[in-house]
Amino acid sequence: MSVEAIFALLFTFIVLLIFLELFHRAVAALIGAFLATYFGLVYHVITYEEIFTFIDFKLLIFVIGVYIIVEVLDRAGVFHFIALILINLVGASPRRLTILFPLMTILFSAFLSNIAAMVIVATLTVAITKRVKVDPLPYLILESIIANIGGMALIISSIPNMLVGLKAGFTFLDFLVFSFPLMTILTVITVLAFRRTLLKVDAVEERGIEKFDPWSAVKDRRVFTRSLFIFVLTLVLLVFCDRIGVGMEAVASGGAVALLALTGIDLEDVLRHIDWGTIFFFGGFFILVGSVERSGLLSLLAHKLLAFSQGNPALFTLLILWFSAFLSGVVDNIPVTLTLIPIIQTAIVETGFKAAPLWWSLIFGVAVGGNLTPLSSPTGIAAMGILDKEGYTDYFHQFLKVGFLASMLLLAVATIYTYLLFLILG
Amino acid sequence: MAEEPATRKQVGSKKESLSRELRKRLPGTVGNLIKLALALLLIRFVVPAIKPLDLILRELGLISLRQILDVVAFLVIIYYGYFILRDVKVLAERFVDFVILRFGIKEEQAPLRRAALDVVWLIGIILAYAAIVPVVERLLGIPWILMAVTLTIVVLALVFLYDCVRMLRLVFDVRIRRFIEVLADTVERAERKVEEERRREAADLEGEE
Repeated sequence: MSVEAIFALLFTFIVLLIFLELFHRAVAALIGAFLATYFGLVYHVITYEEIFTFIDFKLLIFVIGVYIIVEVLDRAGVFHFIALILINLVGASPRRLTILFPLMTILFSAFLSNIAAMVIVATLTVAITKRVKVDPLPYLILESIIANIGGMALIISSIPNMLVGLKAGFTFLDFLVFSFPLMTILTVITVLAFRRTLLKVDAVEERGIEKFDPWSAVKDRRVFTRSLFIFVLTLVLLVFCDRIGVGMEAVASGGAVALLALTGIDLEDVLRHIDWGTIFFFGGFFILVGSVERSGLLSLLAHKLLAFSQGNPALFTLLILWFSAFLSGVVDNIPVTLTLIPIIQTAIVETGFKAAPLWWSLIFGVAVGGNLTPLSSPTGIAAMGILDKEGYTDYFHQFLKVGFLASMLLLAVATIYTYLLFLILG
Repeated sequence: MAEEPATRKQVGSKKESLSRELRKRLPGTVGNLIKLALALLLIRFVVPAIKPLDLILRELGLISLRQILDVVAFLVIIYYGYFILRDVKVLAERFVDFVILRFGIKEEQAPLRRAALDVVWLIGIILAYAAIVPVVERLLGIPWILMAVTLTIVVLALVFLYDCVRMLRLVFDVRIRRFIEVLADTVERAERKVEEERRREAADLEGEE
């Protein structure tokens, strides 16, 4: 058996373990790392010293920093405070909720992980729709779709953005210029396209509810003010970090340390709530992908994709968009991104294609692909869990009816946008 | 006569354990195998002895005796082979069930998930082989160990492949059956409509008369 075949089987094996949820994805990735190390050493694909160079420690520091910032902000009540202010501003009649909930979802998924954003918005949605006496299910479907789109807004919005952003050298501003507009377009299209069919707002009677007190979400005003100040400062520094001459990981970890020091929130407690599973998943999957890359398999795949696109850079860019979208519809978008990064790198080095459009197509593809099925992204699963608790069991079927259609519509729009981007940047 | 291991009712009815099936079918299968071997040996040894007769028969323009014996051998193989294969198939099915249960694949799982789990194990087994072979070759260098490992891996791989194909066939069967039902329902509805129209026309005609 050839080395490429062994590593292809190993990679398929680990992806199947993740897809079938036979193990936690972190455990699956660590199994993959262990097996890749074994096969790499036995078949002389890698040396032992090389293994640890596969792990991107900058990214790990950045992700841990962002996780700590978000956790402290959540504890300070910042997100709930903003949500209640928005509800008071927009009003909570069923018709207005179709604007309010997507707006809240976009805002939170731009700064939080998609799951955290979904949990906050979904909890509020269920509470508010109960008061207004309307069905929360259609709103949660819309929020789930939009949370995935919102993940493409900023570099800190999602793990794939951080992965690609750091690898491609994109700044915070790059995301605001290239990714944020597409996110806005896709959100507007989703709300307009599904407002009538999904939410049937015209059929709903207008019922207002009383105003909320935003300060009820804040336990300690001193902690709240300091958290908000440091968060804004961190965002500003993230925008200008390339001018200061430091990496984004330094800014994110600096912000995290400042928050922990100035708010006095218990570090042990914060660390306990951080998603360490994802961090360990990164460690394992970095080693797996690094070894698979060394075996020559990813280069082979890159050549196949290049041959399929007949060396046409525009076609190759769109191929990456659709390929990543469909893959992340089946598998978690983090392993898809980690796998496609070396493939894109190979294509850039070997063909001299412009790098930027390829990286953007990957970011757009993995974000939109999360809506293909109810289980394609963690937001859908989170929404389903919350609805299950409330006794709504039809989320899966209702999502199936609109999710795929929404994905196709959004992918079509993303294709046009990516092509225009290719023309501008290429 | 071939030995009947189980009644027709029992075959294909409720699944029994591998040990029970072994107790029930193995003696019959071994008996049938021996009978088949004996019959084939007889034919094999009878043929050289009747060679002269064969020449005479040919001169008379009749079918050669060897051809007759070939047909007899063929019939014997079919007769005993049918019973042997039937029992071996049931035993193989129980063996596969027994093995995959040991690997954590339960019968209650949905067929598609079960097929996917089979694929996971199949890949796992191939990877295990790829992992073991260099070590066995380098460290031990004993050919029969490598042979034993290869054989075990091949048997296990065949078991999972068989179960995977069995599950996929089941899924395909269910889908086809559903499709046929939908098709039959549609045709039935169309027939009923035509029948109703006919009745209405007949009633109209009667009314006109």
